[in-house]
Amino acid sequence: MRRKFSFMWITLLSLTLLLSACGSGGSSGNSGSDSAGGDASGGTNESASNDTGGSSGEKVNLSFWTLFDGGDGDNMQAMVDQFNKEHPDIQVKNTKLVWGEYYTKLITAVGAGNGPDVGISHISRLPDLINQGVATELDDSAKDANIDWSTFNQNILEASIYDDKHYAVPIDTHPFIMYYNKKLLKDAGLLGEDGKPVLEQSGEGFIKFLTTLKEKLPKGKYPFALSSSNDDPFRFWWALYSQQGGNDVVSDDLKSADIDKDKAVKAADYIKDLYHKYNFIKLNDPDFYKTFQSGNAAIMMTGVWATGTWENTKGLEFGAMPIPKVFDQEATWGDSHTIILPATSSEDPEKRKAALIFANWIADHGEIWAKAGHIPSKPAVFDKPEFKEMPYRSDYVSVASTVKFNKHSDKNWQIRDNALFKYLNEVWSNKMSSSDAVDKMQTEIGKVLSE
Amino acid sequence: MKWVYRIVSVIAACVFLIPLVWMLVVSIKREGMKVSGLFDWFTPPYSFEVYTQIISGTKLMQWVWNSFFVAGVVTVLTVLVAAMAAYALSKIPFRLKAIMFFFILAGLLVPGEATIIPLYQVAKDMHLLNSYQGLIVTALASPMAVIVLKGFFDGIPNDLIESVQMDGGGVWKIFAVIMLPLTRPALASMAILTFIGSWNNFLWPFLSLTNDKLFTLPMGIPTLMSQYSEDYVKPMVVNTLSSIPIIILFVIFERQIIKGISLSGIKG
Amino acid sequence: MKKLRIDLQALIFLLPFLIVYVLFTIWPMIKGAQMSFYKWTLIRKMKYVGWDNFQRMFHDDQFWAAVWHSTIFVFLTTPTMIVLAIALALIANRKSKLQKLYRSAFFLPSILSVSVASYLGLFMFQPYTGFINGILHGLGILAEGKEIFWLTEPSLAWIAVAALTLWWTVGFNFILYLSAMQEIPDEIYEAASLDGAAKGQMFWRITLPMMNSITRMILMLQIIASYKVFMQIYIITGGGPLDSTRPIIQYIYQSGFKKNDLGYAATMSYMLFAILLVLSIIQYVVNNRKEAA
Repeated sequence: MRRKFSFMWITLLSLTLLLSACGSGGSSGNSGSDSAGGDASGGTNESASNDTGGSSGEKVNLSFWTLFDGGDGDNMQAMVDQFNKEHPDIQVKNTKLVWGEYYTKLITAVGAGNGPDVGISHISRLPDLINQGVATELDDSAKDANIDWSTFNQNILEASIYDDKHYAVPIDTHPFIMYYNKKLLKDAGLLGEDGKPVLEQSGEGFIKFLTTLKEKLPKGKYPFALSSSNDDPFRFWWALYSQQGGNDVVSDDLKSADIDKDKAVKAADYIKDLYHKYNFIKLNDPDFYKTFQSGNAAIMMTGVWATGTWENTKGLEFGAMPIPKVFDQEATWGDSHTIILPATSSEDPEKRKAALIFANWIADHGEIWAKAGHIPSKPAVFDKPEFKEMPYRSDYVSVASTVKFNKHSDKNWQIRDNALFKYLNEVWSNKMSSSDAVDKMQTEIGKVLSE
Repeated sequence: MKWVYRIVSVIAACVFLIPLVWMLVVSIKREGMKVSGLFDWFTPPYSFEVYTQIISGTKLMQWVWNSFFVAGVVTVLTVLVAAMAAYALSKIPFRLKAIMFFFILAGLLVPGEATIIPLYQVAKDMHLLNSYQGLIVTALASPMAVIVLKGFFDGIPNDLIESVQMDGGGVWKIFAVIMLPLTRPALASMAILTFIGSWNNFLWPFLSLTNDKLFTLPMGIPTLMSQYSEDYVKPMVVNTLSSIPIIILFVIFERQIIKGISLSGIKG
Repeated sequence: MKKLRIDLQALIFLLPFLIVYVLFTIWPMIKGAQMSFYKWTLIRKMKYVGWDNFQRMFHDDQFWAAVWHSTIFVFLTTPTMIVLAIALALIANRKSKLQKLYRSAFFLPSILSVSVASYLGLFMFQPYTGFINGILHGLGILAEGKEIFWLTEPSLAWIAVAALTLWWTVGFNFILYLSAMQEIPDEIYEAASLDGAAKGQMFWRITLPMMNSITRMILMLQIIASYKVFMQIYIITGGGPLDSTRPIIQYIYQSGFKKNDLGYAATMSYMLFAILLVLSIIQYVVNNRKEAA
């Protein structure tokens, strides 16, 4: 027995030593503690800097942290590459972080003094970043970079202004919209001549539409694909709540919970019935994107970012439209990606100027970003031929102005994660009445705000 | 009675193996396959397309490597460092020995998880975040290994040590020629436990790393899964690729590993 | 002079360990004590708040709920783990052609990475397309068109998490029991069978009592390990539904890094430490009393 052990021990030891030898050799390059630089690989066009005109002083290098993956990630990289090619004197290096951990890492890194020069923030998360001193005010640098704020969609822009100061450059709006499967709708006799759904814009109209689908669809197909928890049903709820004139869930002074209970309950009940009374939705669907993508659901609702995914799906004939007006006024949930300048120790004005030139350029080139489905933040982009050539987008650009953004609370995300998701999920799973859930949400929001 | 026993045994073995078989089989199915019955999971057509995709399109193999690398280095260093300390505690008659022993013993009670938040601050101050060093050095202190190895060293007769001293050998020689070779089984046992602990360490890499080149498997895998949520082929390819190297190691060293664990039970 | 030389020698041997031990175990403990008296964020806006964090913790329902969930997990997994490990050891201890296969099969899941095991569990327990419901459908236990929602019912979610944990980690304890069984000399059994003891009796009278010390050790390690549960639950249920499976480590993590309240998180970490400390002391006292008796 002892001999076997010695054999094993020696093998293990030599193996690990071997590993460590190779490892330290192969990895010494990136084992440094400086994360701000990210990695040096990536497709940046370093050679381009030798090309035209870079006569005006020194090259500015910017580190840029993003949270995009999939199609979004590719599009952003493409834009960065193109920008670098066109701007020999400014080189941007894109580091992709994981969505779920992005903000934690960003805040931590900025706190430790090794944050990036340029970052992304959701507009709903901006108040938190400002409050923590992560996102900086950028009016002076914007002047240097010649940013014309009037070229932006004003609904989004306003959401990025705090105390009359600009803190972010919006690059898109991504509202919650509805997609439909043309083939299934046609088979059910619900597709009009114009290729749009035959759907009366009212609460009953939408139910009638879904009921017809339920009756006419072949076995195994669902009228409506939607997840049973968290984001998307919450977004739907937010939309319906806002359609009745509901105005966020916190008071105007951002200090207390302020849910309009009647409206909140009405919205929740409406959605709950779609799950449990009418059985339009596959319960606890592990992946409702897939359900729609594989042609097993007639309609689905999610953010506009799905457009690119559907376009790349073979055999899926789909359309996009604003979500139905179930209540009085058109409104929907939406958020916006913005570019921010995180606090750095140097606060180098040249870098900040370059960063804003980059941010403005990204907003100007919304037609690339729109490939994934996002609505550009500058209306001028809508008129570009590249944008017009893309189908679907024009069917929903108008939605950008009906988005009901969050108020400027630095607790937006915490409220959403810890109060809204939690109790709405209980409603969707039919374990709590909407009224109880709204009461609990009210209490919980109060708690979050007071912490 | 014998048959009942046998059937129960076979069923138990199946329960333990089938999930792994399922993982393997699903991983070689074609993406977008339709599964309508139980056996559809296991029937062709098979395809290795996704394997190529994952190997070339993600950093998974780098993470497998990182996990082995970090766990390997942590294992060697932890055992070495602990053995040295244990040797001093066991065989060198220095002053304040009792106090030192209790100082280390107290560490047994500190759960790593309880110190992780301040550890984060400490590592941040020392610029250890986001580096291999940060993953490794923070994991090296194992009071458990010191205490266990001290127990084994205590069992080594002092005559042996004295005979080396007679030949003019110093403490280092005693350590290398007597202590380590004679306690190999114990060292191996500690090594196995340390390796598996590091192999599964999630919280610390999760908190301390942002650079995805440095990820280890426990934290790297979830970043791939979030993108591929329902088609099971990709997740199972990721799972399989992550597991194959360790399974191979297991098959090679099975007897030693199992003996090592048994030993930790007897003495621990 | 010689004394000093010996002290120095010892110090050299102790030094590497002491450095990492003090830096990464002891110092964080002290630092944690300091942090728990501050409002301390990731960006380090520190503010001394005295005992506020502690007061808040004692009135924080969510904290106590999380402690309770970890306790549920301990109660769910510890006894089942021990019983299952013994049962599996009995199977693998019997002479048979498949003996080796059994041993490998029961231990194999233990070497999987925690995320591999967790995702395997997650995908197996999913409705519609998951493997478990598929088996239930295939065996006709679950009617067609019906689904069990393992991960959205709190009690079922606990079962799923516990089952996965058992499958994944029972291997270690199984090996410990197996080797303990093999250590029991055959003569004892032979003597007992001469006295006319039946096999079942032998198990209760000989095997189990002989493994007492190992059971006590496993019990202690298992309880402490179970209180630290995080990853499986984080991946499989995310702590849901309605935070009903969220364990204490997850709550500490969320408070610290998602809510950006490191001071409070450190405070709760101390509480966890205190709980584990009390459990260790109880265990120690009980063991000593048993050994004395």
